[in-house]
Amino acid sequence: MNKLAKILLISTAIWLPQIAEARNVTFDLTVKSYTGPGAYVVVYITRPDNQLHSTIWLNSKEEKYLPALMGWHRHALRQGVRVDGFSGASLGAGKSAKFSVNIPESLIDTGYKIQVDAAAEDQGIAAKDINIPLTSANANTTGKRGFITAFSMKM
Amino acid sequence: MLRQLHSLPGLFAAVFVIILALSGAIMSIEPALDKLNAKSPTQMNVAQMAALAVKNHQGVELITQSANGTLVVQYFNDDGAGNDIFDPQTGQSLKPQQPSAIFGFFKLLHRTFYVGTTGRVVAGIAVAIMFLACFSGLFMLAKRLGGWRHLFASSKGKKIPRLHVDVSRLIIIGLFITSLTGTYMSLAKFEFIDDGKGGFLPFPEATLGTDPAPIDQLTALQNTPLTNLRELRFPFPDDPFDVFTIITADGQGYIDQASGEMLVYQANSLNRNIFEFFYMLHTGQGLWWLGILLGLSALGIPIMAVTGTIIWWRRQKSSTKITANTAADKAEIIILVGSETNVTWGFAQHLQQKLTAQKTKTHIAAMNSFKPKTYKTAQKIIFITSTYGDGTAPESASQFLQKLEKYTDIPKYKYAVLGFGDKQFNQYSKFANDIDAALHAKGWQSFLPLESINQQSSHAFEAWGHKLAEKLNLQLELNHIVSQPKIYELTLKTSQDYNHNNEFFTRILQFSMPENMPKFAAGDLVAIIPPNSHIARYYSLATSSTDGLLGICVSKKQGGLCSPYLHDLSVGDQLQAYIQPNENFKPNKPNKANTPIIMIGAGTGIAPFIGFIADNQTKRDMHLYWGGRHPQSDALYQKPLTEYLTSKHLSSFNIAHSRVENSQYVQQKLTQDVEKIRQLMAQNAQIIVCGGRAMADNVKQTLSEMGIDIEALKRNKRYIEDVY
Repeated sequence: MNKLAKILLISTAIWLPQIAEARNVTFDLTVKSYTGPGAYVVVYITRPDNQLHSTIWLNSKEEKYLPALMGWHRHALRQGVRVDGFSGASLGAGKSAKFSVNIPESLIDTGYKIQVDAAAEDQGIAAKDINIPLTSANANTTGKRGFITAFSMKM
Repeated sequence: MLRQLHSLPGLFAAVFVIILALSGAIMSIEPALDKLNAKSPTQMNVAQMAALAVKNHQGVELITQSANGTLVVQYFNDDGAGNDIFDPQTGQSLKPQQPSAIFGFFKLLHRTFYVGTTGRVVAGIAVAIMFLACFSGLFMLAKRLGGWRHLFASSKGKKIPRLHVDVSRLIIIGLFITSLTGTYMSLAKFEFIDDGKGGFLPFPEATLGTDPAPIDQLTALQNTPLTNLRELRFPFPDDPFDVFTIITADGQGYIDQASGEMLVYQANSLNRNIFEFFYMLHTGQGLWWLGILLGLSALGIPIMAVTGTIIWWRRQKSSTKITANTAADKAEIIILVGSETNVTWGFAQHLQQKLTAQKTKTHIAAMNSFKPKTYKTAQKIIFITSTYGDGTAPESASQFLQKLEKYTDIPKYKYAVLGFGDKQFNQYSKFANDIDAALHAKGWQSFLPLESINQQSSHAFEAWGHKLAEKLNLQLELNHIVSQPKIYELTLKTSQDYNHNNEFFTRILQFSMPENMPKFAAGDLVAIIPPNSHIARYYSLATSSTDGLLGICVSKKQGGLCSPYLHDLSVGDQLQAYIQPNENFKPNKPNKANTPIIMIGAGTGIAPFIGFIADNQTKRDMHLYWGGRHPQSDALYQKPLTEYLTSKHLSSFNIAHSRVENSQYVQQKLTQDVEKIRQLMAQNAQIIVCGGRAMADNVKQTLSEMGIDIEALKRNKRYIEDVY
């Protein structure tokens, strides 16, 4: 097993201890419709200084596909990563994914951001397709590069 | 064993392999189309190209180059995002890159059959089976064609197996490449093999962090030729500590955006290079012409799968269960069977059933289960065997000769050998001959001379049964028919009779036939079923179905069943018949050179030649050598032959008469014409022989004495015969 995958698996266990002051946030995202192999998607939080804070959802364990998630991968290389959730397989074209995570109150409305990278074979790379502030207001948006066709965040 | 290894996995995977092949064939066009987008390679370096791309596009994030040389720039700015194919010489966009829905659809079908990981596993197994089938098939091919030296000899046998062999030879190299690389890629996907893609290059510890230099000043980019580039990732804007990531054909590295130095570089591992090479061979990405060739090869796979399944099915259908088999140590007669396709088993079991019905205790087994010491009460042992390909043992007799070698006693029981073969093969019924010779050499006593049956002839089997019955003092009527085709009613239209001094009756008959009768050509056989018999007799056809009449030529055999019946028919009488195609007895198609044909025959053997001559549309050089009895008694087809000479359908007609003064046989005519025949052979003439066995043997000997290598000609279908 390679180094990064080890880091990913270990960090799954230590991320986000059961702190009282956390809010359950539900995300719902849909990737664009196209014909071809499925998409890889990563959802992550960045700090006010634009550094990676944490990785909350990643749908590939296969190390060789991670560099395609270009924005996140650059952060991950520089800082190491912590991943909270894996979904086993790539997301088929046009499909949706829904998941919930506990996010500490201290990150909400304090300049942190939610970002999403997506990529698929022959469909290009969409780094930071979603790039929105992590605020207590529910969000409903679409990707600037058109890869994520629907994205919502509810607290 | 080899056959099972070939056919069973092949059957299992057939449907999947067909899908893989067709989708693969479609995708094989993609690299060639992609190549059309590529600008011709230049002497530029990456820095020059990147500077032009940046000059023409705001917010460049990524530049990629496909293995076929197409460059794509990805950018993101206030106007939105874009992915454009661009010209490296100018840096200007040519057109947006549109991912192809068609190729995308087939790519996913090819990899997963649209059922995710399960599909990937199935595809992996299917491609591995394909590799095994190529491998085992190659060995079977060599065996069938009589050794590796003859791998490109012309193939023989029935239509479907021949198609299987012919297509396989066309595509096997392509299939080897495709299936080997496909298996490798599947193993790499499931991480049984390291493709060298894992392990990220660690991010450089220290970057300058000062103002970025202009892109065309970056030395590491200047030092990379454009042709070597795969991917160039730009640093995030407004992050001075970020770097350029470059991936080349040889490795990958990080480049400082201020100093232009390569901060970290890692060359590709051996595993990575192997993967890339196999990927290129499999997909044609970077080698578009190979992709097209492999795609064309893949188109042959459905034919292989379908013909292979038919061959397997026929084999299954021919296999029958053994009933009422007496134990080896209690039987009076032992039947041992050498069979490859189960057809021979069918004949042998028919014999066993008939013997058992006569209250003769009979034991039947494969020749491989030969156990001479257990045959305690045996009086006779009968070996019934086919020959595989060009003279080797069929599957169920593959170990027989070794087993016989170890047995040194001479048994009390006597033996007989019956061979099944096909005269189209050079080594007609060779394995039966080998067995007979081996038994004889061991000192075993024979009770019936060796005989061989051509092309599963029920008639010959019946005749052999009579001889066997005589030796066993039994009544045996063997009437085993391999398969019963659809029967048609023919009506006699015309007949012409010939005789020599009121003996040697010969008759030319022409029948009209029903409209739904299958097509036939001269040289095919018509099987005529005489009344009171269910076994057909075969006659060579003198006409083609396009002539509208079915013509044959029959000599009357004393004591025969079918020929006297045909000689007694009156115009308007009807009979039952079917067509038996005889693909291997046809003149070679006229090619550019319109190569000549030499036809040699005697007696009624002239019949197919009349049809061949009538079909000679291209007026190729056709020479007929024919032996008859007397010009007054058997001037068969004299009128049409005279007309064909005038119309140049026929170049020469050389007759030898045996019942005249200065009697002559056809082979003597050949000897007289030796110079002419040598000349024709030098023009790649084909020799076609039709008639009795004795005549054919004499002709063969005469031609051999002229220095003609008949075995070599046979391999190239330049010597064909229909002998009875």
